[in-house]
Amino acid sequence: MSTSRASFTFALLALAVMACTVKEEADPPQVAFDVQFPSAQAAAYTENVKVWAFAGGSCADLIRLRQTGQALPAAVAETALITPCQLWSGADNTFDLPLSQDYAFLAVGQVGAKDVFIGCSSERAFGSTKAMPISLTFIDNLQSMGKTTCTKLSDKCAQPARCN
Amino acid sequence: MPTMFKRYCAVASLATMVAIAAPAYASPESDLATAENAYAALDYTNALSAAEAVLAQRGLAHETLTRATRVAALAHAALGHGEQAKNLFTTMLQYDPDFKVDSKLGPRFSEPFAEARGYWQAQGRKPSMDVQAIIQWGQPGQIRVSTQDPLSIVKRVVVGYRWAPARDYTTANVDPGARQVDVPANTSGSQRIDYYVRALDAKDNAVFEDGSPDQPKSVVVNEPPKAAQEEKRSIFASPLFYIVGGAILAGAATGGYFALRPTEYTAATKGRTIIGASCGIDRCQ
Repeated sequence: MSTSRASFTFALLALAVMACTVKEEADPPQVAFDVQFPSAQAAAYTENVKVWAFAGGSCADLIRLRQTGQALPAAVAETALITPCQLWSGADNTFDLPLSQDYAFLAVGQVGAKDVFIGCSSERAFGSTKAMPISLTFIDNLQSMGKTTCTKLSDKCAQPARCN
Repeated sequence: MPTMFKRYCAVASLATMVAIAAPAYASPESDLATAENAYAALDYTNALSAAEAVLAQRGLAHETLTRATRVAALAHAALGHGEQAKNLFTTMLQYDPDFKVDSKLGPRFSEPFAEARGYWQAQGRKPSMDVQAIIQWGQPGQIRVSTQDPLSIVKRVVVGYRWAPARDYTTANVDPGARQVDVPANTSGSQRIDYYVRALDAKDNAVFEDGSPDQPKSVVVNEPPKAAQEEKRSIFASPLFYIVGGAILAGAATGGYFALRPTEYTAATKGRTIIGASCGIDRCQ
């Protein structure tokens, strides 16, 4: 008698616990991208980087729009202007995106307000744990590297900078 | 001439009226003084008559009653009236159990007194009246009276009290024995109560007396300091304790529920993009 009563009480408690259980979405998984500069000197030469995320879209079309100075389509997410040093240190370089969609990530490297480098990466398996590279190249054949004494990005990001 | 005659007649009439009325207005105290003076002058006959005149009156105070009885008893003893002296000594010991006869007075005094004292020793208990006033600030009180009266002389007990500054007493009559009279609380904030208790015989003489209307006993009650009242008040009597305690418990219960309730996680629908930098195929240095 006492055993059945204890079982009944335990069942009631279990139901109460289940009723009180809260459902929460798991924390977003980290999806890493690397803005891949052609070289350390190119990274030191670049003043700012900006990254857009577009739902679907073609990297070739996006690059052509940027090369020709046309407006880009609406992005689902974009970063502010980020310095290579911020990218290197991991500051101000994150945003959330819904999983299981196709995205095109467009990145440009600027000197002043002028695009110097550009790169794009289409991601079909957003959610991967491996860092996806967005390789930058000169936006056109009119660009060239300016003079810099930096051989490592850390020299430029040092306080004070150890190179120009 | 007729005018002078009328004037003499008026004065004579007034003197006659005063002479006639004077004995009627003689106070027990004056008669008692006469008796005591006569006894001191060894005029025992007049002392006895004066003392008996006092005892014949009604409503005597305890002091007057005791002194008159003493003079009468001593006068009877001095006159050789052994039986009367013994009876009066017996009564005297009722009024004043500590009364003693001077042993130098001789056997006419000591023998009836010894018999009277023997009577009381045979009784095994002394006549007395105990009064206890139980009075506290802001609460109803009591005046408790207990009479021991082996001779059953006491017929009633009068208790009078007044909260200052009232002039009139509130009186209560109770039967002999152990009694109590309820006293109302000092609602007016009075700090002193005056009272008296008189145990009266059949002639309303005060056989026992504790205070009198003219010279009452007093009890002073003081208002307890408010700080002391607050200190004595338990924290559990404070409604603030229960309000704060209830709020803390409710907060703890709510917080505990949200902190301890089980969580079931669902698959993430978003990914957190982390953008780094690489220089060539290597991480930038």
